[in-house]
Amino acid sequence: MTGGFRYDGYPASGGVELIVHAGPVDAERRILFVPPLFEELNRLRRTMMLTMRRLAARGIAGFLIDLPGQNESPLDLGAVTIEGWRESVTLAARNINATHVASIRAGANIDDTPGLPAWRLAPLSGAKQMNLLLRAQVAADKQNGLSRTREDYRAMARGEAVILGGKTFSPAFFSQLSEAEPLAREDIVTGEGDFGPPLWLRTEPGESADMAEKMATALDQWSRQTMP
Amino acid sequence: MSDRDDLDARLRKLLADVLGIEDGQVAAFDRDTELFGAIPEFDSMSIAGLLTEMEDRFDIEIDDDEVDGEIFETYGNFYDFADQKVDG
Repeated sequence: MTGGFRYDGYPASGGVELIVHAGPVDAERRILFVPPLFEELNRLRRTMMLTMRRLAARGIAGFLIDLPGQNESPLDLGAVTIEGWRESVTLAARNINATHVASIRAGANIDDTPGLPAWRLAPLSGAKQMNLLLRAQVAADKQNGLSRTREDYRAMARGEAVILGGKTFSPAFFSQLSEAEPLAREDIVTGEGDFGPPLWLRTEPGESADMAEKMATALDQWSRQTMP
Repeated sequence: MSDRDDLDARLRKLLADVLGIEDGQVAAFDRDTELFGAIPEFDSMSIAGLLTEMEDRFDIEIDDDEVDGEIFETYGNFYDFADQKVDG
């Protein structure tokens, strides 16, 4: 046990992936966190862990998964599909007997596990996530004297794999992510109010105890109101 | 608050949020304040987040060919760019 966190594996689509958890083993409320994607994961991971620690102090169990092809995953991004990600979330939820799902940013595109209420922090559509990835690549290209546009990449991605931010996107995954949207469902809500400055936009990874406290409070309240 | 003041306030908040600069520092920006390259927090990696967040908050679309080095050079240039996009 490291700082109150336990590290395990869960059976994701494509193989075992990392799951970090905190809180009582027999907790009545068990929240599965669906993380943000790509660079935003790096920027928010510490704050998510802080949030889980605060939830644990309130007797709520929190579980943070690696999606295949993200973070410590042994899988290449090239092997990933949006459906595979969605499936991994459902597999994780079953594996840990989740009672609730909390997604961050583009995690919202895959958080609609059947039967579990979900809470979203600053949901980001797949199209907007792609815009961020494409723009970052276009800016990096410019630094290297290459003049490319997002449209150039979109055209290329129709026929071949493209590399964005050092990661390989298959044509299928490129188009799936571009079209992914957070599902609208009665039991899926977006966190309202002020959670502090949007750390996911910063280029430097940081952490915010303030954001963690606000998220833990919101999740505590919401999960209590939505117990099955 | 006039539309102009409103746009100005929202742009300053956008910069503070995306770049992680102090509110006090952003409040002190004037038209000639240099941005890209002059502020350590504002580098080429910041541009993706800045443009995408700008589109979201102001309900506009920014094409790649509208983005040149000049629009981020000074706060005045940045403001003028936003002003023209939000009106047009």
